Amino acid sequence: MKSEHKIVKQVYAAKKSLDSADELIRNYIPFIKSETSKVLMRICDEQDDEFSIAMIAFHEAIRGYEESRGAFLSYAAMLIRSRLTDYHRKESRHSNNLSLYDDEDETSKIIDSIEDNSNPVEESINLEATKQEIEELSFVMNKFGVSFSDVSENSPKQERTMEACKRVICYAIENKHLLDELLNTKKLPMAQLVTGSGVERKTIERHRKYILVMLLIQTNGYEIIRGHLRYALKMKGGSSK
Amino acid sequence: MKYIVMECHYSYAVVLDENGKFLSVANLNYEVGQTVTSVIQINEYKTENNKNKYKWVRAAASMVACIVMVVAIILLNVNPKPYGKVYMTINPEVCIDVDENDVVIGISAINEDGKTFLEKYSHKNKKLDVVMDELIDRAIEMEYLQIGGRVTLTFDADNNEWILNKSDEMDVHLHEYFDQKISIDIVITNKKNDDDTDYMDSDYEDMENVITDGSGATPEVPTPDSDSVATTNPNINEEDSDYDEPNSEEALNPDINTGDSNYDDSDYDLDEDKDDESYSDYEHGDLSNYDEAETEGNTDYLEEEAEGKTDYSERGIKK
Repeated sequence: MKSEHKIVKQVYAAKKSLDSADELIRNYIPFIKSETSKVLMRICDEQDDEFSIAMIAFHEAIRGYEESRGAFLSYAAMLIRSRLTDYHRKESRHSNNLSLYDDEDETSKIIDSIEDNSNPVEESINLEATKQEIEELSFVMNKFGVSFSDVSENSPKQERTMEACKRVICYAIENKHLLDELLNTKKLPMAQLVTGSGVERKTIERHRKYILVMLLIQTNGYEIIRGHLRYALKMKGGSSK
Repeated sequence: MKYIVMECHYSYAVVLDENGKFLSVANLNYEVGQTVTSVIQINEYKTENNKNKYKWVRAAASMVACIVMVVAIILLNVNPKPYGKVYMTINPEVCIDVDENDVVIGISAINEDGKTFLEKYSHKNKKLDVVMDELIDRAIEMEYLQIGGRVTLTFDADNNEWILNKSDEMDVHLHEYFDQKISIDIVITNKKNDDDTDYMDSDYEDMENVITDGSGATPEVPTPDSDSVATTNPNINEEDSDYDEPNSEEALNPDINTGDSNYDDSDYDLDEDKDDESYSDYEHGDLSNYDEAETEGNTDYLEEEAEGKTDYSERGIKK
């Protein structure tokens, strides 16, 4: 009973941020593994996709848990089982398809017989470049006291809010001095963004971290990430005109 | 949709999709900077608090809905709208309310005799024909109805077809039932719904639709409203029915309508020349002619004059 109270406290603490949830999960890896193994009917490996999915289910359990729902661990176990069942159902749709990694004959796999146009060296360079960009961005973000986890929690979920945020970002892109001001002062030029974009201050305030990161991406560097967002940027350009 | 993995944690990863959304997803052994095409997102759960907030509202709403339903059901059952009405006139006069299935849902007395007649009588769950038999039996017992007496049934409903069907049905049924016991006249009349607007006209039209029992007895005047029903005597004038009675008033005053119009302001001058001497007398304001007319015994005229008196005198004085 006492341990239950402890875990409830931990869960409530973990609700507040993804990082603390991550910490809690680390402590409960054996539990997650055992629940996954029950569903898989085999020993679960950390490399299994199912294990990752079970961890995500544990995240969901942390987020959705209320004391009134009963014991946390049985709730988490239920969520893990149902999430894994969902995953298996989804995967079973592809059960009639051949995997590239299936054996073609005794000596080779299907993937080996397909002509590979990709250049592994180039890919690895790209990956490295992207990684560097992201690390740099992460470093700058740290100066602002923001992490990607924070942003993912702060990211607008509704389409309408997303559009409003995009209007703000667009306005800032069109007025480069705002981006410079951001970098210099380490603060969002809130007043100018509100008057310039016509978006309510409350909306900007609520998604401050998201807007901040998106504006940082628009500053110099980060070409790869900007390239990734080109469709989103095009939309913004179109809507702003 | 492509996603760039931005941040990797032990239990989850943060990815950026092409629309600029940052998502927390399952970390399937991702690496920062990697581009993936499908991710498993963390589902968003609504917190329990939000649900609790409106719990009592939902509870109250469902309670109200239940109460409304129960009340509606009770009201509908307790006081169902009568589908048709049957007025039964012996001497006591009663009105029987019937639902669509011919089940009697209410009986009310229309006159004083009706009240005593219905005392301690229960119609619960009985059909119209049963109630009818019982009431007539009861009337015989209570000596309201004697051999050769008359029962008048008047049917009233929105549905004319129902009236016709029921009147035929009851006619046959009652004759079958009572022919074995006692000889009584059963008169069935139909009543139009709109007849209460004009008693004089519509009732006499209805007379054409009266169904008699073929015994040669003249059907009775149907009763359009409770007052007239109460005054209807079922045994009146079996020998010489007097349908002209209501017309007798009209016969006494045949000119009543034309007389009125003649005294109308507009017509007065035109009619002046045509009418007899006494008019001209009035014209001069000589009211003594009233007495003369009275002595002449011209009662019809006198009545007209009485109505037009002030008019005449006024005009006479003006002239």
